This record gives sequence, C-alpha cells and structure tokens, in this order.
Amino acid sequence: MESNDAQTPAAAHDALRGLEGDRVQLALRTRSPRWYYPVLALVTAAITLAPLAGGVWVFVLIAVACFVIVAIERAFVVATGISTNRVPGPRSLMVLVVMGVVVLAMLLAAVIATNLDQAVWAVAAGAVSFLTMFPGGLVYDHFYGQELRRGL
Amino acid sequence: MASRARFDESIHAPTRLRLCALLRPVDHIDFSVAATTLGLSDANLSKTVRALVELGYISTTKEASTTRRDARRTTQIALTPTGRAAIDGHLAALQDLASMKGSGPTPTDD
Repeated sequence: MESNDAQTPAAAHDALRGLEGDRVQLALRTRSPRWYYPVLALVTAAITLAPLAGGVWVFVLIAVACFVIVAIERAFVVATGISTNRVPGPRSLMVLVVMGVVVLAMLLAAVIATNLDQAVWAVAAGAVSFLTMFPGGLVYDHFYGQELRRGL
Repeated sequence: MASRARFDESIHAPTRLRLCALLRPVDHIDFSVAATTLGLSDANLSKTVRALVELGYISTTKEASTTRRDARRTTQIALTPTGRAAIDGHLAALQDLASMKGSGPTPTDD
C-alpha cells in the first residue's frame, strides 16, 4: 500500500534529502545584494540623526528615510522575485531583535543627546546605528542563510 | 520546529512537497522563480499549484510586472495558514520517521 511505502524511515529520509537542494537554491536567491546593507545603514543613521535637524525637518527626514526603506525592500523583492519578511529560525530572529533594540536605543540616545545640546553624542549614536546595520546586517544574512539551508 | 507531527498524504508527492517546503520560509514567491528554483516546467508547476489551491494549501495573486513592458502580469504563490500548518506538521512527521531505528513500515490503518 502506498501510504505504508511512504511512511518508512528510509522513504522519509529520502523525502527530506530531496528538499536540501531546493533550500540551497533558495538561500542563494535570497542573498542580499552588495548595496543592500550599506544603503540600509545610511538610511538608519539618517533616522537616528534626524533629531539634530530640528523643527519640522526632523519629520521630513524620517518620512524620506522611511520611504527609502520601503523602496529598497520593494527593489529587493522585484530583483529576486521572493518576499522574505519571515525569519527561518531562532538565531536569525535573535540577531534581528538585537539589531532592532540597538537601533531604537540609539534613536532614543540621539534624542536625549540633542535635547542636552550634546551633538557629538548624537552623532556617535548615529554611527552605532550605521554599524548595527552594516556590517551587522551581514551577520543576520549569515544566520538567515544558514537556517534556511538547514530547513529550520 | 515545534509543530505537531502529522503525516499528510496530500502533500507527500515529491513536487507538492518541494513546492510547499520552498514556500514555507518565505512570504511569497514569483511563479517563474519557483519554477526555476525547483527545475520544473511551467505546465508541471501550474498543475501542482492548481491542485494545492484546490486543497486550500496555497494561494495565488496576480500583480502587474515591473520588469515587463507588455500588459502581462506575474503570478505570486504563497502558503495559506492551513498550508503552512500542513507542511510544518508533515515535515515534523517526516523527521520523526527518519529518526526512527530500522527501515520497516510503520503501523498504519490497513
């Protein structure tokens, strides 16, 4: 009977092995282009430094930066034909959460530094934001590809 | 993978399983990219997609292509929540089976 044949350890092993090549192909296709994280890092730094602009320019800068983020995400989907707004495993999720927390903390630090007239510290927060996204984003990509290939 | 293991005959056929497993870690994928990645003809993939849509496991959406000059639209394929639960459970069942000692058939209902 077919269900018996399919439900053996050997058949299950073969079925799982048959998926490995596809996962490797998918990991290759979803690899970020070289420009992706540097551009994302610049935009993230711009958002972090926005409080320094003062007045209405803070909101203009943040709005433009958000528009650019959406545009580069869209460019990635168009270029690859794949939308990957989903983390494949716990390590990539952890890296993503840490990156998000650091960027938010740096944004808060930049706001506080700007209010205290400590522009140097605001710029330092912007620099940390930049480094979090690049090369930090490459760390996320590394774990993302690894977990995608392992099929977690 | 913390899903409940459930062997699903309807997605165990190799092409169906490969397509569902390909869609599992992504939100959606272009039809042409799925065909290329799986090494399937458009006709073969189309047949598999239709069958899985009928089962309620995947959904398709059409979108104007940003890379084509003509009026044709690209088709995007995604797992539905039902399909995602099915492939998670099926992969868990396969992993459970594969990790069992020996290679004899497991007890079934016949």
